[in-house]
Amino acid sequence: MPDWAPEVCTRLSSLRLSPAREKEIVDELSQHLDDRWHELVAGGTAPDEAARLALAEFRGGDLLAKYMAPLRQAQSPPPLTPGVPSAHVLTGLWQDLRYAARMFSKQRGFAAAAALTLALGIGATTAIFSVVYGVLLKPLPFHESERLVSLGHNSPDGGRNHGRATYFTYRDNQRAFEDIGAWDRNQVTITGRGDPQQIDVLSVSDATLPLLRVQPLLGRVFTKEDDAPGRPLRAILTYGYWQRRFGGAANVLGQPLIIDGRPAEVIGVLPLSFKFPRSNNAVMLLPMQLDPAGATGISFGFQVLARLKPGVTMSQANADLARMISLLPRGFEMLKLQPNVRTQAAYVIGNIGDVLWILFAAVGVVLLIACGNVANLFLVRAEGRQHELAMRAALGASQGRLARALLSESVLLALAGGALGLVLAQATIGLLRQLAPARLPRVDEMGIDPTVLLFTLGISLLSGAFFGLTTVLKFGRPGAIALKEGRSASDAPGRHRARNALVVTQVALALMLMIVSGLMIRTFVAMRQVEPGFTHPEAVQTFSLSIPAGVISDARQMARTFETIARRLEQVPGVTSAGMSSSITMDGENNGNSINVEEFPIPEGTLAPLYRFKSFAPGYFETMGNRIVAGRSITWTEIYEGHPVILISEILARTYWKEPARALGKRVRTSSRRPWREIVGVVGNEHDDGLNHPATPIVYWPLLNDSYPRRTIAYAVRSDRAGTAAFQRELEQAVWSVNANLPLAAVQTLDEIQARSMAQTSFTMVMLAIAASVALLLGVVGIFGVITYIATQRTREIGIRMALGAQSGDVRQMFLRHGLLLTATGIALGIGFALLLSRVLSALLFGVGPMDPTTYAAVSGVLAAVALLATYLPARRASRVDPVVALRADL
Amino acid sequence: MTAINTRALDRELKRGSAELLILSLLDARPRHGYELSKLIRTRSGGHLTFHIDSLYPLLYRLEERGWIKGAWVEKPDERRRRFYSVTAEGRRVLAQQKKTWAAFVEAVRRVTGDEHA
Repeated sequence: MPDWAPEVCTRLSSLRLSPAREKEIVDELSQHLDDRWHELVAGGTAPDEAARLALAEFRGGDLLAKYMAPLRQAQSPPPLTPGVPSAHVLTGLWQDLRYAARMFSKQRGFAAAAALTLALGIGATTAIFSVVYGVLLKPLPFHESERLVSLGHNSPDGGRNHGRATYFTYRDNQRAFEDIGAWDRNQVTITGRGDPQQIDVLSVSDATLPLLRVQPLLGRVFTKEDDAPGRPLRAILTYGYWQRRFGGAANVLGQPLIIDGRPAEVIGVLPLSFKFPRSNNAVMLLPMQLDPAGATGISFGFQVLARLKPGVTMSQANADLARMISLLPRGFEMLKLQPNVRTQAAYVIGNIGDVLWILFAAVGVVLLIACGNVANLFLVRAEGRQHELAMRAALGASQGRLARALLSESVLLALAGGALGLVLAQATIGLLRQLAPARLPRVDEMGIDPTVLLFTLGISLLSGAFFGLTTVLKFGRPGAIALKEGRSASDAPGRHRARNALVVTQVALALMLMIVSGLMIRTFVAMRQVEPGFTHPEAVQTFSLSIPAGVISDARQMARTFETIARRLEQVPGVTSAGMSSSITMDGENNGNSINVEEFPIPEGTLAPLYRFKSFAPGYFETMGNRIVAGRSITWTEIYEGHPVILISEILARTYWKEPARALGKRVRTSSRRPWREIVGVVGNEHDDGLNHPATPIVYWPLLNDSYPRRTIAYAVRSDRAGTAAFQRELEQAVWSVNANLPLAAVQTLDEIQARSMAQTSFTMVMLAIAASVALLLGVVGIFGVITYIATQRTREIGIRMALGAQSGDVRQMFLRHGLLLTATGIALGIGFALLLSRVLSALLFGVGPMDPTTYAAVSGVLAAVALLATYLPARRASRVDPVVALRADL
Repeated sequence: MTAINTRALDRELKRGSAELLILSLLDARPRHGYELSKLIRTRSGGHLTFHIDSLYPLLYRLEERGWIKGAWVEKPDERRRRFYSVTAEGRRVLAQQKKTWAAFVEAVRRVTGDEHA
C-alpha cells in the first residue's frame, strides 16, 4: 500500500495550517485514498495503476489548497510563546499602524472613499480655521498687544469716537493708561514728484507710535514738537512707499515733499513688519497737529487708542473713562456718553467675528457629517470582519488590544484624510483671499502656519477617534456568538440601529445647514430688490478728486474748477451726464450734523437730531438715476450766489411732514448761530449704509457753503463705457485738461461700490451655500450607502419573499418606507436644530425672518426629494433581485 | 439564456445542493468522508461525483460553521477514521434548506410545469 502522506502534504503546503491540524487532514485524506486503492485492487486493478487512479481524485495540482484557503483553519497565526511579555506599547502601536496600512493597501477603494470624504471635511474646517485664527485669535503684531485698548463711547444714538474735546480731556486727566494716542485715516495729494498722486495716510498724535512700540527703520518717530499745531509738516514713510517712490534710497531723510500744497520733510521710515490694523492702505504717516486751544465743541471724527498700565483691568479702565466723561466741557452731558474701552483686537475685528464663527460652526458640521459617513463605512467593514475579530479574541487578544487595532486603522485613515485636507485647505485659502470682503481685517494674515497645522492634526486625530470608537463600541467585544454565527449574521432590524442613527443625524445636520444657507440666499435676494437710490450702477463711473488749498486756495474758484471739470467730462464720447457730490451712495463716508426744523423746535436741554449731510452740485441726481420726489434741484447760480437753499431725502421729509410735498418751503438750520435754509426739493431715498440697512435720512447742501467747506469731491459719470480702462484714461485726460495737478483717486464703478457693500452678505452666502451643498451630498451618500448595504444584506430574504410570491413593487416599497422614515426623522430633527439657531442668525438676515416657513418648507422639500432618489435607486435594484441568484446567497 | 449563464446557474445549483446532500446523508447516521463520496456517486447513478479536493474542504467548511461535527474513531489494526454527524444547528439549517428548495422547486414547477396539474 503506497504512503500517501508526502502527496497530501505537498498539496497543503501553501496553507497556514497548524501542525496538529495538518496531521489530522493528512490522516483523513490518506484513509480516503487507502479505501479507494483497496476498492480498485479488489476490483482487479493492478496495484500501481490503482495508486495512479486514486491520486487522480486530486484533479488540478492546487485545487485542494484553493478550496481550503477561505477556511479559518487555513489561516492560523504563528504560535504564541507563553510567558514572553508582548513588545513595548509603542512598538505594538507601530505594528498596528503597519498592519492597518497593509490592510488598506488591499482595500484601496474603501480607503480612498473614506480618506476623500474626510479630506473634504478636514480641508474645509482647516481653511476656515486659518481665517478664524488669522483674523480673530492671533494676537495683533505689537509688543504686549493684549494691553492695547481702544477708547470709545456708547450713547443712545450709537457709538461715538473722538473729537478734540474728548481727546485733550482724556489725555490730560487719565490715570489708568500709560498714555493715549489719537489716529485717523485721511487722503492727501502729493505734488512735485512726477504725476500728482492721491494717497492714503494715517494721521497720528505723537504718543501713538510709541504706544504701539514701533521702532523706525530709519530716522525717528514724531515728537511733541512735530505734533504741535502750526509746526512744519513732517512725514514718516512706510517701507513699501519708501521702496516704490524713493527706490529705497538711504538718503531719503530730509527729502522735501509737497503734501496738499504744504511743504513737508521726510523724517523716518517704518520697518516692513509695520501693519496698522484697519488701515492697510496707508502709505505714509503724518502728525495730527490737533490744537488744544478752544477744544470745547461737540465734535467727533477720529479714533483713540491707549496702553493699559500694567495690572490695570478693563473694568478699571472703563471706570477711569467714566470718571473723565464727567470732566468733559458743558453740553456733552446731553449726549449721555457711556465708556466703551475694549481691546484693540476686539475693535479691529468689529462685527465680522459673528460671521466667521458661524462659518466655522458650519464647516464643523460638514466635518461631523463626513465623520458620520466614514463611521458608517467602518461599521459595514467591521461587520464583515466579525469572524476575524472573534478569532483574534479567542486566540487571546484582550479587548484593549482589539480596540487599539481598530483605533489604529481609523486614526491612520484620518491622518491620511488630514494630509489630503491640508492640500485642499491650501487651495481654499487662496480662493478665500479672493472672495473675502474688503472689510475683512487682517486678510493677509491667514494661511497655514504651525498653529493651523496643529489644529489640523488635532481634528484629524479626533475624527479618527470618533469613527474608530463607534466601531470599537459595536464590535470591540466579539463573543462566541460571533465566532459561531460568523458571516451569516441575522437580519434583525435592530442590527442597523447604529447606522440608522448616524444617517438620521447626518440628514438633520445637512438640513440645518441648508436652511441657514437658504435664509442667506433669501437675504441676498431681498437686498437685491431694495431700491438703493440709483439705477443701472454698472453704467456709472465714479472717482474722487481733491483740490488742495496749495493748488487753488479761493473756494469760489475751486467750485468753478469743479464745474469746468464736470462740463469737460460731459464732452467725453459716450457720456450722457456727469455730477458730483461729497460722497457717493454706500461709499462709506459718514458725516452727520444736527438739524433744527423751524416748525418743530427742540426742547431746551436736548440735542438736535443728527442727520447725514452731503454737499452736491447740479447733475448729480440725474447721473445717479435718483428721482426728485417733490420740488426741484438747485442751479450753479444758486451755488455761486450762496442762496440759502437745501434738499432733503424722502424718508426725512416723511419723518416730519408725512408727505414729501409738504416739506417744500419749510426752513431748517444747523444751529441758532446759522441762517435758516429753505427746503426746495425732496430726493428719493438712498440706502447709504448698505442695502441691508434702512434708508438713510440725508440733508443735501449746495456744494459751496460756509458750514461745511469741502475740498474733496466724488464725481459720478454715466456712460455705457463705464469700467473700461480706455474710458478711465479719457476721463483722466479731461480732468487734466482743466488742471494738471489734480490726481484721480478711488476710481470705481457704482456697481463695484454696491458689490463691496454687499460683500459680507455675499461672502457669507457663498460660503454657507458651499458648506450646505457638501453637507447635502455627504448626507445623501450616507442614506444611499445604508439602504444599499441593508438591501445587500437582505438579498436572500428578498429572494425567498419573491419566490413565495412577493411582487417587486412590495420589495421596493419596503425599502422606500425605510429610507423615508430615516429622512423624515432627520428632517424633523434638523428643523429643530435650525430653530435653535434662529436667534444667532437673525443678526445676519435681512428681509426674511430666521423662522421663515417658505425657506424651511422649500429646503426640506429639496432634501426629501434628493433623499427619495437616493433611496429609490438601491430599492429598485433590490426589487430586481433574481430569486435563483438570491437563494444561493448563503450557500 | 446564454451558455455562460447556464454554466453559472449549474455551478450555483450544484454548490447549494452539495451542502444539502451532505447534511441529508449525515442526518441519517454519522459517516466518514469516503463513505459519503461513495454514497453520492452510487445513489445518483454516477451523475454526481465528489472529488477528494472538493469534498473535504466542504466538510471542513460545514464543520467551521458548526453545522456538522467530526470525531476520530479508532479500531485495532486500522487507521483512525473521522466520522461526521449533524449538529442541532445543522438540523435547523437542513430543515430550512429543504423548505427553501421545496419552495423553489414548486416555484419553478409553477412556471414550467404542465397546466393540468
